[in-house]
Amino acid sequence: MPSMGGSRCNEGSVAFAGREGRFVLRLLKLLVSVAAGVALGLAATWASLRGDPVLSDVRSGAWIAWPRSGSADADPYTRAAFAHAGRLPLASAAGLQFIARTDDAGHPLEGRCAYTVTGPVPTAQYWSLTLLDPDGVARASVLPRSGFTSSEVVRSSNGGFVIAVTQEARPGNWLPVHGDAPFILMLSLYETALGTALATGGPVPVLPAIARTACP
Amino acid sequence: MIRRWLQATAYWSALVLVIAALTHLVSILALPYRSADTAYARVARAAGRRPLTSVVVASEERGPDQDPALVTSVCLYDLRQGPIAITLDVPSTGFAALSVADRYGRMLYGLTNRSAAHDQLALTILSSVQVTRRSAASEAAATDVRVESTEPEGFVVAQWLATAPSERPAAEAGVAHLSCRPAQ
Repeated sequence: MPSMGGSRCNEGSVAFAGREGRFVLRLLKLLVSVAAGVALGLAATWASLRGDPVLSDVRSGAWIAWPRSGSADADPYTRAAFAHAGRLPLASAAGLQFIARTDDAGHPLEGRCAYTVTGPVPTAQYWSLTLLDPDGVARASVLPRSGFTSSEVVRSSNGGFVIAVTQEARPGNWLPVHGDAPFILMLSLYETALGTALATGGPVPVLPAIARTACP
Repeated sequence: MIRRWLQATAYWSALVLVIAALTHLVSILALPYRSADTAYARVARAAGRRPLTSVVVASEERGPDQDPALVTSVCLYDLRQGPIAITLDVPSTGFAALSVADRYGRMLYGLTNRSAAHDQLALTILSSVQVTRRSAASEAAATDVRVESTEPEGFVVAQWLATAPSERPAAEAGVAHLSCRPAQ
């Protein structure tokens, strides 16, 4: 009989140990799941901040803009991306900025290649075309000019314009590039109704064409 | 046995995905409040962290993707001491703008020289409580442009487009006159 009692006690211990083991295993699985979930969520956040914000963006050719970035109702992804980059958006009432990282064929803009930027530009009181490095900084100190405004650009007889974006000097509108490194172009439209129109789902306008004319 | 294994895998995977989605959403929403190098941080550095002091800021100091042709000055505000009155004399031609953003980068309001009265842009920034108090106390000031800021801290940006290099000195002198002072 004592042996039977001992056996029951052992069975109880084994059952308790089994339950405890399962509990520890479940707890471990839960901890691993939470850790994996947090890591995956943070990785998704990091990935979404690496490139340009994709929610509420507007694209036309190679150009991309975030019409709501300059208003109080900017979406959380755009706000997060602008805050992370330390970028100050242009207020919607003031204007709208487009960025181009590639030419119209989708090739990244590179200093070793030559490009032309030709109209049209949407209706705005003023506009400017600025050359920035990939981090968005204007190289005003190393270049004779880092952009053109609509008042400076030399127009052809039909009102259109061609801006050459090259390392070598060109006659007419020449926007100089420093070195072979990649760069970006920014088209800023000031005093335009386009931002409000695009933010409310209006049609996307045709923007200046960016064509690669030579690339050694 | 395989069915049980599949059920367990689906359960734990769903849990991982839900936690990932929550983490992602919370981190995206929290980012403007947690980032160290925001536009406000840059502006605060340029202004020496002194509220109501207007400072002309070079395009490199304003952060990425800024137009160097847009001559800019900024001033910080703190509404805990009361509402703030902002004025900027602007040209009748050309382009100049005044905008207000809170410290977390939310652009609250903007207006340009097209809407200027007597070549001046003027607005008052108030907290929600101050808006309620002023509305109750004063009918006369109802025509003022009032900007409500839910955050007590933020900054004002004055921008003036130098359409040619020769216009830059005038633009710099213009934005330097950005006035930020306690409202009466």
